[in-house]
Amino acid sequence: MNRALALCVAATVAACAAKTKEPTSSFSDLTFKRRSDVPAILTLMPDSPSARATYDGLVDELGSDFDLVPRIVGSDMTVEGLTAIMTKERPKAVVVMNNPTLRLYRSFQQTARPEYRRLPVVAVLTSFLRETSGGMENLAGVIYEVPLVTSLVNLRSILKQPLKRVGVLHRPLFANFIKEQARLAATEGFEIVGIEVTGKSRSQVRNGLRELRGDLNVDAIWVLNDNVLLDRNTLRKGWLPGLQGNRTPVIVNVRSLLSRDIDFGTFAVLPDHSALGSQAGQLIGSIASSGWKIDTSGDGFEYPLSVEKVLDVTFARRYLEIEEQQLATIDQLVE
Amino acid sequence: MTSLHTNDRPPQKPWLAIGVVVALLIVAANLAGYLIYTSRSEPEQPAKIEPVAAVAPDDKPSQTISLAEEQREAGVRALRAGKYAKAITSFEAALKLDPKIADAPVLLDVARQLADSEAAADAPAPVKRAIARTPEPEPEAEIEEAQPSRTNRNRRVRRTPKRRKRVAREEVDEEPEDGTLVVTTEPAALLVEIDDNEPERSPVALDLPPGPHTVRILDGETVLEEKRVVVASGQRERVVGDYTKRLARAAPPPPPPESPAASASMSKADDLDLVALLDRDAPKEDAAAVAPAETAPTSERLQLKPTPGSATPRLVVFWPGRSSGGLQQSMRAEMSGVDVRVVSRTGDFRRALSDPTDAVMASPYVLRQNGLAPQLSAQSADSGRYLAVALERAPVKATLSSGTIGVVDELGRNQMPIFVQRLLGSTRTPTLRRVTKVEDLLPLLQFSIAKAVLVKERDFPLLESRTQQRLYTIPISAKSAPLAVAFADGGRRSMVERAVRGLGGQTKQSLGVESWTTR
Repeated sequence: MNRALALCVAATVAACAAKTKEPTSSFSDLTFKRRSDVPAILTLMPDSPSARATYDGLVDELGSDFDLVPRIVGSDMTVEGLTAIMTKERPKAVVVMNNPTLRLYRSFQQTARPEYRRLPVVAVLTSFLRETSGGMENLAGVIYEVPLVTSLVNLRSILKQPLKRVGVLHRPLFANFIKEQARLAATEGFEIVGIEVTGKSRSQVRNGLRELRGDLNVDAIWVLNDNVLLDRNTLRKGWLPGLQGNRTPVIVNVRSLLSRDIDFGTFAVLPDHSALGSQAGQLIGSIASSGWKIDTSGDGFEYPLSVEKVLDVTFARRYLEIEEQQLATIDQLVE
Repeated sequence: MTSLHTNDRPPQKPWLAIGVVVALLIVAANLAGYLIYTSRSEPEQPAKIEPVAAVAPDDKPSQTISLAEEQREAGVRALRAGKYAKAITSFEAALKLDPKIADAPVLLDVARQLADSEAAADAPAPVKRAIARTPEPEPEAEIEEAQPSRTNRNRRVRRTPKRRKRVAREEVDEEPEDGTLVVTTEPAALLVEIDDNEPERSPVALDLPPGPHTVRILDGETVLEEKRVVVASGQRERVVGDYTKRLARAAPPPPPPESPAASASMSKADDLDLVALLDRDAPKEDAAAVAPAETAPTSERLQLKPTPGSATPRLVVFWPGRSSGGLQQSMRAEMSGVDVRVVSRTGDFRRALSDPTDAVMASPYVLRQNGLAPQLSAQSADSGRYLAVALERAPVKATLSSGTIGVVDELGRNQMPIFVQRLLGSTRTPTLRRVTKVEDLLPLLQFSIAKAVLVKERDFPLLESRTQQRLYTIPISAKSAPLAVAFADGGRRSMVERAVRGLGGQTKQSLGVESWTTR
């Protein structure tokens, strides 16, 4: 593949962090027949492969006891349309997938009748769920971003060499997010070294990477899913020059940033969408057994538990000391 | 008194009334004493399955004392069987019913200490010391006598000590003629278990020694009915049961007992099939409560459809907790002529079986849950034990069920809680977080979603290798069954079986299998 084209694809996909896979099938073949004797869970979702896989996980988890009623929410969906769906389906709970759908549901909730406002809502496939769900009532959900500690534990499990200091470039906006990730990673003995960059200057990215690899001597670099830092120009003029001749593993959380055609990501750790569906289903199961009430003891959000791992095995074998036997635990090896 | 005078009736002598009342009280007290005595000295009572936390009505103190005694005895039995959580519940119930009950506080202490201590399972001394102070209770679970095989249809294979003595006496005097017990069910082919013998499909006709026998009718591992039947010498006794309505509602089955073949390699201490015992003892009302009353799914009974003769025979392997890709690759390479599909998620398993399939390899309880009878069993040196794992401090078995527990999903959302409840010997249905991979148990602990996780002992090193945090463990003294294979009626069993038996050492090691035996 042409190098520039590969970068273009990478940047485009990275800009939509929630869409991690190439479309493989249309959602139009999804049919659903309501049963009369089981409660309904309304599933508001985009027409995308990741949403489909998440829906399948939900059905596997809850399908024997509940009707998971799927409704595709496109850009033309309105609050009135959503009200009509709610009136027709009379769900016991609602699953909301992706940020635009969550925004639409928030608008609906603000004007809805009390019985609809009280309905428990579970959000999945939503980027930065904690930060973007302000103003929502009765909301629980599974955070979309794979926690750094999960990525690091998975990388460490295949390495013979030490993995302790991990560098990350981030904008000031993400300082609290990085702090939280560093706290979780510290429990597993990792030290996070953050360098703040504004995102306006490609040289900042380039120099930041050189500093992480040079003076700060980190064992790995983590690439945050920030579409400002991952736009096409920053990739081409900041990241790629900064990683030239790199022998340090680079952890990414977007599949398109790991390719045999570009020297960028080494190890991709991605949400397992089917498992996300199952995890959201278990949240709904727990809400159902609590009389359709959300547990208010925490903030209602969980990190994803299951991930898919992709390794650039050529890079790994050339520059890293790896446990060959552990490669069997990797979901996809890119050679 | 005023009214008596106004009615002009002769005044009654108060001492006479008092005397009558006193006499009545004496008679009542004697009667109550006799009833208590006879109930405690009742011979040959079978080990009863009692509700653990029975509460006596407030207005019946004598029954309260009796129930307290029963609870105390249930606690002692549970203590002996190593079911500390149940013992604690029973002793607490006994003390609640009768705070003055002799040694219950001591026994409760012992049970709590044992539950708290990992070493407790191997240190019976405190149990013995505590129990030595009390009359010998009837053991709830008898060690099996030496016997040729559990599949031997020859009568009782488990006897209480008293029963053994009595039978021995009878044998010296004169062997009484057997009676016949005939069990028929609607629908047919349900499992019939008589006196803990290996279950057989109904209809069943068995010659049995005269006397009481326990008959259990099972659908898979779900007990549909349990009754005592007295068989008279030379007589034929019939048991007829219609379970069609009940089966239509499909109660969820419990996990089955370990296969006898698998227990062959266990140490003597592990010989007691705790999973089976827990199955028997688990309070039925709790188990029923697990399934949502109105939304309980119909337990899907699989009807395997074999592949047509022109197609390659197909084997589906359910391999929860691990990545299926590597195993599938090696099995396909070694089992030429068989289409092998390895899946690790319950949903994928269900879907895989919707296509024509000649054989299914999974744990016996997964097979039974799906209505499939294990026909080829794996033997393994693997202890099959589970470990409860936690961060920061060792989990306490007795309190595990009070928090969320993580576990690799093998049976789905309705069955898995029942399985874990029985694994823990808990009276309470635990709240679970089920994951698909062993490695996913770690985030449950890291993110404080679960208080503890349950992992098979052989999978623990994988979990441990992924963390630098200290993992605290306690063994859960129950066996998990190894693999078994069920074959489709009319499928090409011999071809698949030959290929399964021919698997190489490394693949067998991955599966945790040493050899295969036909059931």
